[in-house]
Amino acid sequence: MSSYLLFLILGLGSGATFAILGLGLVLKYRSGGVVDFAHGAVAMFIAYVFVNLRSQGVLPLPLIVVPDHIRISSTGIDTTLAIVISLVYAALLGAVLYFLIYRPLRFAAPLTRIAASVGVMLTFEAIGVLNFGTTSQTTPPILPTTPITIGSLTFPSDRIFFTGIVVVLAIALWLIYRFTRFGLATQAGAENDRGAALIGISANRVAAINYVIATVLAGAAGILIAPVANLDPTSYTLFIVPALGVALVGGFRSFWLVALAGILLGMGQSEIIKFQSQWTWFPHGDIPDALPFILIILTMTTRARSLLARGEAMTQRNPSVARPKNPMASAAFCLIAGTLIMLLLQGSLRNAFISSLTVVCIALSLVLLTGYVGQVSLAQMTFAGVGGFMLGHISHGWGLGFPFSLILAGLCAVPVGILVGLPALRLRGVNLAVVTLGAAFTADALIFNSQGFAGGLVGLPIKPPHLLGIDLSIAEGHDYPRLIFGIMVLVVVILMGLLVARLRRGAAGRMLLAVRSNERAAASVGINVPQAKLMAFGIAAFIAGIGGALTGYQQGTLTADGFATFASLGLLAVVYVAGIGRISGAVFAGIMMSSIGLAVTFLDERFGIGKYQTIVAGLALIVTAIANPDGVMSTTTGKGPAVLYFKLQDAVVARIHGTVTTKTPAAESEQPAEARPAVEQPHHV
Amino acid sequence: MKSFRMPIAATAMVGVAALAVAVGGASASTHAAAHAAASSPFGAVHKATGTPYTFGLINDETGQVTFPEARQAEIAAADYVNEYMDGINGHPIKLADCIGDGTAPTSARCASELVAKKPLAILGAADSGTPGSEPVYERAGLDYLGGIPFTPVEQNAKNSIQFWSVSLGDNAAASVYAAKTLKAKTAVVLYFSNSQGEIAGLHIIPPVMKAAGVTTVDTIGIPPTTPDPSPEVASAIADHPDVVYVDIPNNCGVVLKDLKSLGYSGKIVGIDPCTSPQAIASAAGAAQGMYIASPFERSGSQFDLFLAAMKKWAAPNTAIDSIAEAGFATVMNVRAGLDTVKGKPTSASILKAFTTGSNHANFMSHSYTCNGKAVAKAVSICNDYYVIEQIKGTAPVIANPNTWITSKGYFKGL
Repeated sequence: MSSYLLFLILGLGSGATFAILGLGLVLKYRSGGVVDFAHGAVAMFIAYVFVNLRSQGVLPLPLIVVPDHIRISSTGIDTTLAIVISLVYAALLGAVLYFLIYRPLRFAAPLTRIAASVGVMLTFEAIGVLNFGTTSQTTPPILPTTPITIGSLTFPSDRIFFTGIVVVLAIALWLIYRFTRFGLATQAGAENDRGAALIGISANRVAAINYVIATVLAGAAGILIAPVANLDPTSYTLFIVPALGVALVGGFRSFWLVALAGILLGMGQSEIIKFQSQWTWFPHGDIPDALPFILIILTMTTRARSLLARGEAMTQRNPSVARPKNPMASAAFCLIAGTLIMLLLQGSLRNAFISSLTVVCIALSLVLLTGYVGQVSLAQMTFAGVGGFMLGHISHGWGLGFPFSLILAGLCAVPVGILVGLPALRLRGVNLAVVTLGAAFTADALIFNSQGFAGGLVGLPIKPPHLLGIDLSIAEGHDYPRLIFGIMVLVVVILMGLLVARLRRGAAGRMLLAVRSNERAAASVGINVPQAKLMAFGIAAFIAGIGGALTGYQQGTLTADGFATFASLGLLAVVYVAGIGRISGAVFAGIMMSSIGLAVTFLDERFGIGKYQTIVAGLALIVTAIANPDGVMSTTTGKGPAVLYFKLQDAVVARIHGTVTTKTPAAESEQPAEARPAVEQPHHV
Repeated sequence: MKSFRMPIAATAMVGVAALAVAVGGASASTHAAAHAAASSPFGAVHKATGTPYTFGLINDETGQVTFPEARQAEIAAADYVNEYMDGINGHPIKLADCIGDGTAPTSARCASELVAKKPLAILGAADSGTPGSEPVYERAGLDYLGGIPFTPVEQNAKNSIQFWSVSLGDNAAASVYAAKTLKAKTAVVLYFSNSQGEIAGLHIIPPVMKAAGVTTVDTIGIPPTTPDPSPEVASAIADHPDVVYVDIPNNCGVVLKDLKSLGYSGKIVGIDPCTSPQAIASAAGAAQGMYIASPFERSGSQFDLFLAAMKKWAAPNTAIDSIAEAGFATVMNVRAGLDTVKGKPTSASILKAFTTGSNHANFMSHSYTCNGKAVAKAVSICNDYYVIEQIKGTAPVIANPNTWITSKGYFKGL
């Protein structure tokens, strides 16, 4: 019995980590309505600040190329002083991040803020990789480690102290935000900033102070985690997944519930390890990794009404949606233009263009699901992976040829899409995003990590496509990448684009937009909301599955690394800032913003952006989100590339016809009333 | 990391100081050069002046796990070969690189970029995305030479020559050592629970240990999202195994520290990343006595040459580890092999240079013979011999000098 107790105690280290990260996430959400995916990355950076100060007397700066640190001592400095400096540093960093990034986005849609936070996450991770390397570091304990012996149990005491600190923090936060004037002002400002302004509260100043406090909390988390965990640029971001799960348990509101859930999650994971070693019948494998998702599902089932469930005050802005005008003509144009581009490009650039097309296909699934139906999914790359790997099994094991193998691969992703979409019947917005992220993470750990399904390190071979005796494969001898393969991919992607366009223009599209705008209103006019949502998840999974399968055809051997959990987060961010309510947004994301796409390949070949690629992507994401909160391809803001394009088009038309037309407002008017953004409308928590 | 001290300094003073340093520095470097010529480990200067031979390479320097030292070591070796060894038959080595992130799609993109530069061959470096890049090379008729063979793809590709094995043969050899030399009868393998970790943790170490005589081998995975691995460590040592095999590349120090704090006093076998200064330091003394199998001998004149070249040509603060050794030795071996080819090397003549004959000299490592039989079911690996090192103090030392161990007869392949 005592050994079971030991494992519960040992689980406190992980539990306290999830809890303290969860507390920071809740604080940021309560004050600014943002799910900050960069929280772990910021905690990581402050942890490096602390470790470098403590061991070398060096203060790292969030910079690259130019000097990236200041030496303030020739040896390490005192631990307490290092902690104080690190927390002050965190406060300053929080203020800078708020005023540069989150303040300009305070009225933007939640997804815009998520995209910006992904940009911050990528930037800090890239800075960490470039400045500190990926070899993990640890630091001597901060808290007392003297072993505690209770009966036959002996365990290190630092986990107990760590947990105690987290509990004290949770209580302090609860007291502050429940009983103090500042806490009440925070709640007032978050719920209605104009109302708060009327009674003399500056919601902006309150949000700034809260963001600074939350960043200090992230820094404290980083410092406290560093002695018990490995410190490297990416691990802390992975810890965010379970932390988001515990934040969801607390409804992104309750500090004490989040702390309790985090601690229990860590203890539960630890106890499972004990069960696995003790009982041979107990399932082995990565069950502890799946525990956060199980926790999320249980919470969703039992507490959905107290979360931000459907029907509650969710008047947050949705991205604008365009209505495709003439899909067939656009498709014909894309076919001609795409073929010409492929003819003009050779070798690596042609290959990159084909990669762009596969990303466009997966991005189209997000246009449908998130753009048209408002369901935030962070599992699109999972659907793509299922399609891709199933193509390998179908084409080799089942002997089915192209195009049936491709269609069937896409269809295989549909049940997975519907399964992941089930939570959408009770949740939406941020909560749904967290659930789908948890699902993607579980799929990563249990399915894509399986050698039998995904082929392990070698990957899964994909049989090249042949149609009516014609070889459509990407390579034949030294001919690579072949034009005919590129055209095949182009045709399939255009067909997927037509499917999305047709859905948008037809009755189904109007139904989906109605669901996005107001589920209760949609239900009151006879729309079967659950059916509509699941249909959208199913079709989106099919499109993503086709995209994954096309990737498989292109690579010849498919590996799981391209479909990792955070790939979906990155995809959502880039499609969002490109314009998630538009097919053109998907095209822009695939060609201009994908890390394997045409623009990045061109930049790498010409300018060797190589190891700076991630930081460039992160900064570009932040800048784009701020400059074009509705997406690069949107015309609603009256600026951006799409507006420039229409102005240019107007000028050309005017020159030809000798008249002046105004296309931009017309594009705006294509948008149905229910899809227009509620400009300047504050968000509700 | 680049550094500046306090930025608030008078510009004029900085200018004068910079000038003084520049003048003094030039003088100092002249003296250093004269001294170096007298006692240089590089020998006499023999510059290559012919048309360059271009070699492509992909190295993971962004993403979750990065190995910048592999590329730096290849740069250092190429510079040394070009300046002191007449290049390859008078042709200087030119490196065309592309930075990978460890994923197959990015490596495939990189491979396409490299092929467009029409290299003579590809030098292996630290590319975990070879399932994406290797087919591109194969289609382009390019050979893949050396580096760190992380995945079974380059371990078995027809166009691949591998001078040693990392994460396959070294784990198998260390498992044999645990069974035969350390006389372990019970063992627990702690492995990183991802695709790469599972191959070694489940499919290499346990079967080899059992084949070599360990009667009980338990395996425990540590997931990437686990901040604190102490429950896994506690589970590992619950039955007091003779040996704990720590196959945790990025969390080794913490796992070792937990082993000690939870009271384990048995033998520990680790992997090369556990020998990094950070891992040894963070283990807080728990790494002492740990055994590791390495394909490289860290002593002798070749090792001294490697250190000197890294100091001279690699970027400052480049890690000196087995990844860097593999990068440096790759260039040296490729140079030695291609120096025997008459005329401009072709794909066929390049492969022939390495596959013909036996017991070719292998820089800092055991000699190699490319007959497809060195490691079971890894036909491109040409050498399966390792030295056993043991952590003593702050660095590894060779446990049994002049003794190479192998897993031949125990490892049946993946």
